[in-house]
Amino acid sequence: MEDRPSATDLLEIARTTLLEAFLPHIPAELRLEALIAANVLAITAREAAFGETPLRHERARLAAIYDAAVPPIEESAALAAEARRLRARLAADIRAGAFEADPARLDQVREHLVATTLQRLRINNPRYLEAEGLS
Amino acid sequence: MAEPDLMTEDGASRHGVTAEALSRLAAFLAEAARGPVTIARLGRIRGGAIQENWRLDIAVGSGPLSGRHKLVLRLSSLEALAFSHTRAEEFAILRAAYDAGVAVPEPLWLGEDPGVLGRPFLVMRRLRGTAIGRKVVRDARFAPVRQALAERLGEELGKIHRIRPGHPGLTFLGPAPDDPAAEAIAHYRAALDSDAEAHPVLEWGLRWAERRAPRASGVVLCHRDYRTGNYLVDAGRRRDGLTGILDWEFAGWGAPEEDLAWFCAKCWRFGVVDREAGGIAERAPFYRGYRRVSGREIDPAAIHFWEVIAHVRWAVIALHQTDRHLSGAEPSLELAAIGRRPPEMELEVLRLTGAL
Repeated sequence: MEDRPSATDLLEIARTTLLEAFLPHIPAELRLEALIAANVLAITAREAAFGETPLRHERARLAAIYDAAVPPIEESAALAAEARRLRARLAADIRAGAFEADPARLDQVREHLVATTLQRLRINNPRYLEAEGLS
Repeated sequence: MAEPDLMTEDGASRHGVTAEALSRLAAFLAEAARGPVTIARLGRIRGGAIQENWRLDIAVGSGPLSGRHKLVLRLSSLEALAFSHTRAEEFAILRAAYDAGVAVPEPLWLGEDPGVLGRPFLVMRRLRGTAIGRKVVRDARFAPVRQALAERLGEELGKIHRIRPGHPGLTFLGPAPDDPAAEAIAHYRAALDSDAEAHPVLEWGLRWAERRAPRASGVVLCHRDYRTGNYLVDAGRRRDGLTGILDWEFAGWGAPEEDLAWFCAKCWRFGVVDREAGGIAERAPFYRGYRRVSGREIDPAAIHFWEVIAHVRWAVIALHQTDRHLSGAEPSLELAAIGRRPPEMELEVLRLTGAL
């Protein structure tokens, strides 16, 4: 079963309490670290809310680049390991210029990199995305 | 190649000074100043994981330096990065810059004997002003000086870049690179290879750069951390407010465009992204000052190349700093949080390479 409140709920209320109840009493020299702590809680809450979906999408895009079948992976650790393996392969291939003779495939890689980066920013810093006019 | 510090600027002191150390310091200063020295004040100025800076006020009782002096004591930190310069080398670089007429704190004395403070240190004159980047770009009191400040910073960089390989005080910097662009790409690839995770976007940026690497327009003394946050501004002082360029510990021979691009890179605009010269002004005044003093033309394609490299560099430094936390060497919330920032740099890499 899933306990309630959810991880996201807990992290959000911890952050609100830190900012609204604790922060006014935190000495000036620790204020910056307290704000970083609040930001880290916000990142974690967003990551928890997205769950495994971004990783599944990343893995599916990577598999498509390599024309590989995408057998369903149920187990989280196996999913992460498979994504990590394909990510390393992509990085090495980009360095070697492997996609540059095939414009369609290069474009597929480009779209994948943009999609992955946007998603990581949705978790890590959505305000930065907004300031860049993206979402 | 060295790495500057991404940490914020007001960290708390972690290392105290004992009464014994204080008296050894006073004895060192008395010998250096050739007169009796009283230490009126010693306190940590600002944080940072690489060096510690202490505010040091002294009174010299007699001799050539008789009088009061406001100084900075700069210590190697306990966790000093292996590849940042030693204090002796930093002292020599500061001296070379000071002699070239660059606005820097005058370097006075070098303390290499670990018997004094346990670590090497240098003593330099203290300049007025603030270095805190977000204040320089945002506070209203700096609004009247920013335009002139950008031009002046271009001029100062031009003076720095007039220092060339062969300078007799800087032989420890080694030979000048033949091909700074290719060496930078190789350096950052090696850094990515040593990371536990793969970074396809950073690889994309480096591959883009490899195919467009500019020929070196010359090799000069690069500051390598020339950016908002590393110079002091005192709005009340002069028309441009600049009092000095700080943080020289990463300087070395390189391509002039590397410094120009690092200064203008979006990651150093402190959120004021439409002022492309360090968050303080447009590029035009910065470039104008640079051209006038350096006598060099500015090649926009070379700047573009080095701006891609700048964002890769920022991300690589972030990975290393996070690793100090992850490895258990230095558990730190701030270092941990830096680990979530590379996607900002990667978005800019994608934009600069036309992928976005």
